[in-house]
Amino acid sequence: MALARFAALLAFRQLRHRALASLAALAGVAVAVMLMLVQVGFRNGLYDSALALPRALAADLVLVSPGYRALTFSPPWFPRAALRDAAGVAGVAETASLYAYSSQVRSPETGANLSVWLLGIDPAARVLDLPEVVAAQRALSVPETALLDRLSRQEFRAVVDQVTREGLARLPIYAPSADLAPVVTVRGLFTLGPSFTIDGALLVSDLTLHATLGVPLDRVSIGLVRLEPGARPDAVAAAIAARIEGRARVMTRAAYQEEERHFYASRTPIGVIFNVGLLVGVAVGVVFILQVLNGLVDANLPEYAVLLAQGYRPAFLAAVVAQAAVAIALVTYLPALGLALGVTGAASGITRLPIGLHPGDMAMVLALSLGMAAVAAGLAMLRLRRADPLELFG
Amino acid sequence: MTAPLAALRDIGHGFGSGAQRRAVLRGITLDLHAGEFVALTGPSGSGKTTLLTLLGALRVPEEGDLRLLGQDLRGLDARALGALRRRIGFVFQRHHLLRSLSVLENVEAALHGQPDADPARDRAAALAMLEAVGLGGRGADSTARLSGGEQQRVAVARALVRRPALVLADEPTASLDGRSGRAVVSLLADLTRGRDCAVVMGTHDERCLDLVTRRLHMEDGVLKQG
Ligand SMILES: Nc1ncnc2c1ncn2[C@@H]1O[C@H](COP(=O)(O)OP(=O)(O)O)[C@@H](O)[C@H]1O
Ligand SMILES: [Mg+2]
Repeated sequence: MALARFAALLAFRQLRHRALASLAALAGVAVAVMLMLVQVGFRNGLYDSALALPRALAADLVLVSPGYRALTFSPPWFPRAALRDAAGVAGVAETASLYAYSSQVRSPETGANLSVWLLGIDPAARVLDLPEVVAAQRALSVPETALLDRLSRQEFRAVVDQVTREGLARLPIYAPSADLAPVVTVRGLFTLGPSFTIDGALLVSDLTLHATLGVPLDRVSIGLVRLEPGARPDAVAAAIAARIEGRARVMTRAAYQEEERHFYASRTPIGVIFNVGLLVGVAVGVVFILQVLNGLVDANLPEYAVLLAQGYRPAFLAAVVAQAAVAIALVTYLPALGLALGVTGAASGITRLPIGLHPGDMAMVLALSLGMAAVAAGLAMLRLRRADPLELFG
Repeated sequence: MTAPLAALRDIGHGFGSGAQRRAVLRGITLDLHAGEFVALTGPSGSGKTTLLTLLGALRVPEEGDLRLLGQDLRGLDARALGALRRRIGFVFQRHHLLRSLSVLENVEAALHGQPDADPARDRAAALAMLEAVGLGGRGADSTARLSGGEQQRVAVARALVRRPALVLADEPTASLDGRSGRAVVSLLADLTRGRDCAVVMGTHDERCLDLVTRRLHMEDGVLKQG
């Protein structure tokens, strides 16, 4: 429609006419959007790092303790007997156990204590679908052997280098119950990724874990259930739940991952902080867009009054303001995205967390940005009431 | 004689209320016909501008009857007032062109809002109108590059391009030197002559009065036919 095209043209031209005067506020919009994108990137780093291990589980169904909240530190355990019972349910092909305990190691470099996950698996069982683990896990049957996550935090760099160079490195484990610190020998590397809460991850055999920390092996952290081809996950999960009678909770793989993600999103202050950060970004963005739009309206009041005198309706002026708002959102988005990709790229390089932006996030922030523009446009439209043809007469 | 384009009967209008109240127009009775070019003279503050805003459907008179282009102004809603204004062209003391648009786009802008807008035809009409005001080659220019007289000629083109039934000009020469001012008034006269159109020009400018067909003199809110 010609009128809509004219509204867009006028909005764009009037914005461009005042580009210099609006530069600071436009930069403010871009920075607000950039900060929102960076927030989302950091949140992804949290969620994706938290999900790295759940995603690697070679399981169709997952059993956890009824008191289990999420895979943080040392999650509560459930009795291994429940997993054995689950193995007898029709449709179940095999089961396996994962033991996850948080502990500390002494940094060979600085002597500082670093938090680690000690992940225990049966070296003969399929537990983690990570190629390097599958290739090397047999070696874990040698007592006190470990694989180290090469994406563990920088503090582990020396250990990783030593393993790469010499094929092994020795790490003392802090075990409060032992008189002497047990030592494991790292003989290989795998790739998982650090989390926000834990500095690194060591994979050992279940027996080594038992020998090191003294934990009983009938206490399973996560039970893995693989189904026979064609078995329906929901139906088998229901059958297992009926069989194990509350000793453990059973979930499909998808439900488990969703629950892990949800835990960080809503049960930890971390998720809330990210959302508040996003809201602050939206508020700041609205203020800056409003500043550009108010400047635009104020500078063009006589021109708008002329249009009204020519028979244009107030709705046309509202459309001009709306178009200008959309243009501001679009024009500031690209530089904001560019900056955000730079910042998240640098942050992920430093922290080795999977900080970054997915296409869906970019679209989400663009939508938020357009939402900010809509709110600001609504407020700026109130100012249009001051456009009055009577003001044009001397 | 055909029906008048504007018929005013005993129009009164004022500003303020209570003790502040001032009657600005009193007992104005007037018919405007197609083909007339009316100069509205009178001292500053006599009510010329107020009368023009009534004729432009920008205000509704407090007293009396005003029929504009066949319609009684009272009881018209915003949409109908907008439709009425689209048949009226305004020229102000200052040009009030849209600074971010080119000369041609300013003239075209007067046409986009029309219900029967047609981009190709409107562009042709705008170009022809620029030609008519002597700015044929300047369509692509920014309005800031024109002189004051040229800017006011663009404003005239913008007011006339819609072929309005009524053209209202308030002190169109007041910001211009004598020569440019006269050029603007003669354009208004030439381009409306022989059309179904009346022009009312509020002015102090005695030098242009030879170009008009009728003179009205305003004194303290009261009209005296000249
Ligand atoms: N919006 C207004 N509010 C109050 N007084 C006004 C307003 N507009 C005009 N007036 C007054 O009405 C009188 C006539 O003004 P105006 O019509 O502008 O006269 P002119 O155009 O002949 O100089 C002046 O005294 C002016 O101060
Ligand atoms: Mg005046």
